[in-house]
Amino acid sequence: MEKNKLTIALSGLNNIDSPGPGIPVVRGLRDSKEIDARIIGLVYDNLEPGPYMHDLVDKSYKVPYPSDGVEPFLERIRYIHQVEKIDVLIPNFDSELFTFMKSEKILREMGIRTFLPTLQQFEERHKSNLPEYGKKYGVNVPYSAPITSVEDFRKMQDKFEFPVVVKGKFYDAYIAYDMDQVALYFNKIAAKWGLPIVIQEFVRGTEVNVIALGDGKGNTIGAVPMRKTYITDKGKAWGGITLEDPTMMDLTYKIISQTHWRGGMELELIRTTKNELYMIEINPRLPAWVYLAVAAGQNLPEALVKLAMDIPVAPFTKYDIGKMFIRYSFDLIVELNEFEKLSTKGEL
Amino acid sequence: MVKIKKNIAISDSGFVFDPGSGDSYSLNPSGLEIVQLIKSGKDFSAILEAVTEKYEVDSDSFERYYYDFIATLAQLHLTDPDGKE
Repeated sequence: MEKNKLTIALSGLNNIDSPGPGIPVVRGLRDSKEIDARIIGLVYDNLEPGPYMHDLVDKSYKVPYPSDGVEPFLERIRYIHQVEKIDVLIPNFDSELFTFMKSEKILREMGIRTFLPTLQQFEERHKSNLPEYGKKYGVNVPYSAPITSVEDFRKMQDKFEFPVVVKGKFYDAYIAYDMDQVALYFNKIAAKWGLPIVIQEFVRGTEVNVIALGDGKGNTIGAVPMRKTYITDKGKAWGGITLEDPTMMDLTYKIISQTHWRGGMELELIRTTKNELYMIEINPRLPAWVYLAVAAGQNLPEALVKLAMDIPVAPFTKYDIGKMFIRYSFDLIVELNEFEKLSTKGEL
Repeated sequence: MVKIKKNIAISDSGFVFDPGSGDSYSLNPSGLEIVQLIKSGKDFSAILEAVTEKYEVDSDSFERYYYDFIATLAQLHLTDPDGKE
């Protein structure tokens, strides 16, 4: 079968100790038997490893941070599109999703397709909206509340028991055992990711995760549950294993069918000792461990691209149970002239 | 009768994999033999007979080791909670 030639631009090429999903998404696309992808990297920092991984990324462009505003960002995408003729764009950072969702129509008019959650889907699953989300869709969620100052937490402290989880808007989460630690983590996260900070009830149990892809019509195209077997000090998976877990799968189907979720997602769940599942977060994109799903038989990056291209996709019906991943670090050697090119010309 | 959960995978090398939790364990040869006897549907008295016939162990000691082992399997959620002995 002749492969479908597509130019796919994506971000999240920071394949570091707390990796973005870009490189694993590319690996999935490279494994595709249906898509012959030209991969265009969208890079925020000269030291992201992705641009220098030439066997995976064909060409990279520096892009302005979403916080610089939508216009400069779109201007850059317009330029890249002129040169590269992008078919599909896959944003891989939570922090840039809003910009892309807002610009979906403009991108589409330019001829660039995306496959993203709607703004409503994106907003209602925010950490600060989780209690309402749980109520609306009948899902167990820990009690949580957004705060904009430590004083806010003092006022509502009677609603919580220590320890509590202090969480950033987009990233970072710390367990705080007393007021001093709440203040410490509040300041640490707020300085990095801004406000609000979310205080969440700490649910004791085992963290389990599901990667899934929704077609936007209520159907789950694919879903694979996983348990982290090795967790870094940043709480990231350094190892994981696929599970056989009908309850996690049912919960995923339920959430996707009720919300009509469109695009990739990661459900972060806690299984308590009483075998109850609590949803602690929905990440609105494919996670960095997406290649485990590919290896287990569900090439979700390929399916996502096909959905973006309006190519029919049959839902996956199975995956390998007990498939493991072990992350590793690797010193990529880079010639100075390559670094120079990316730093000065913004292209490599 | 103690039952090992249906979905637990046990290889000939003694490697045990619980696909629900993702946990895995290693059994030594005696542990593997006992688990295989349990899996084949034998109850305690049949296992006791098989083991005392094959190995130099008295019934009282084996009973103690057996129930200790079963308790460990239960603690690791490898046995069916409905199966009792």
